[in-house]
Amino acid sequence: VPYLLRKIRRSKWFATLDWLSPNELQADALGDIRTQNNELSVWLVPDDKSNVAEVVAALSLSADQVSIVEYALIGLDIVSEKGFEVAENPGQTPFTAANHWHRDLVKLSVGKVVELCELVKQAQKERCRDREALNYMAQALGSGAVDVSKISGKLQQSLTKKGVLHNPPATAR
Amino acid sequence: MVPRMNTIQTFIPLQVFDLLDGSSTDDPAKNYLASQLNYKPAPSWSDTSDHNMLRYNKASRNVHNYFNAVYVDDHASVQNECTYVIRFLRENAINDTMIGTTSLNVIVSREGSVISPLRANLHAAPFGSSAGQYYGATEAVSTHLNVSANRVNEPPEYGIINRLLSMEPMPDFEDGVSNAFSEGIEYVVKEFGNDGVGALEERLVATDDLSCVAEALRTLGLMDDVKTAERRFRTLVMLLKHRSPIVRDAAAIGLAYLDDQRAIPAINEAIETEPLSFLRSDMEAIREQLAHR
Repeated sequence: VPYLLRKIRRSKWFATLDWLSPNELQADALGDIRTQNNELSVWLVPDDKSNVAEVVAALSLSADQVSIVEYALIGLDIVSEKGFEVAENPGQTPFTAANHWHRDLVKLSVGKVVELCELVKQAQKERCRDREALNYMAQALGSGAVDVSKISGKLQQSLTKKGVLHNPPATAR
Repeated sequence: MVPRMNTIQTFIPLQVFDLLDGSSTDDPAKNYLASQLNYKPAPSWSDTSDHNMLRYNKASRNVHNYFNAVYVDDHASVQNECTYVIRFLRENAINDTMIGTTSLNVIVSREGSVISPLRANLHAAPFGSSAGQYYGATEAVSTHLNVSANRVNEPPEYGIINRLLSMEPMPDFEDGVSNAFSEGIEYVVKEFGNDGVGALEERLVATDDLSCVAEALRTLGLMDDVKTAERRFRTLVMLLKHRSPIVRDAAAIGLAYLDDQRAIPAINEAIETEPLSFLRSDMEAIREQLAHR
């Protein structure tokens, strides 16, 4: 079953805080599924998870620091069963070759967001270490499918310092 | 000499300096004001008999006049920067010294205006209220405008950290994406060095805002500053033993970012005592990473 990948911060989903009732979630978790225009950005991942490296690279190249990437993998079948509408909107990341994996959950109501909370809570959550993320970024850059001008200046500096990016453009976004 | 101080009702944090020369009693050589945008030396006048001790010069956008004084009913624009400068004219109250961080009962309106401290205190309107909701005030300013005595002479890094921890609104924290909070933490460390890290550690241990603590620890690990690496390492190791799994997780991530093999014994110890299996697994992965760096 394919998945929808959503970048999260896993600790926001910890259900082990002393003040938190069992089966409850921290309210901070809502920050991980903040919608814009009633839509939520996700990434399609095939059942063999073969494109996770590309998606992580796309997410990392959109950030401004090399860091860990934590994400939830929600079964696409469950999402469909729950009546979520998925739109094939291409991503806008610097990694142009990965942008076709991007999707949006659209027409989200408050009720749907609450349902989504439950789905993320139950979802498989994984962490890609910063070193791996850096490798994935290096691979992406090596493929020539990255629009370097769309990488933040801060990240360009960092990647240059780490020897992953050579000759960054003079103008950074 | 500092007289009796009253409790302050806080809405936004402000920092108080000596506007005459920008100096601090802790660090007389440093001019804290010179770095402020549009800063010009304040006129050397002090009218201690002036009840409107905060007078605001609407005509000027110079920093020293910005909050040099605020008349009751006047509004002053608020910038997003952490530092606001206020001139206290009552030398008998605060002796014109630089005072770490204090807070005044000032309210920010929806339009980004500061309502006079006097009114703010009297009406205690909630953050985000519009300016039109304030009504007349008659109490003397001096009863409302006080500075917490225990903050006098507190090093400035504490003030900045306090303001960061009470930032409104607190940004959403996302890995790999810097924000005003993490940039502030980085500033404190780079500006104040090991003292800054020490002050941060002190505040992080004391605060209940665990998501902020976690963000700060990630930032301490991620930032690039050789001079403070050792001190940051110690803070991260210490907070591996925090009562909250959110903080322990962030401390471990911070240590992974620092990529210092000396963290392995501390991580081993943390693994042994960690009650949560998923955190133990994460820590084991970090230990593995450090062992094979």
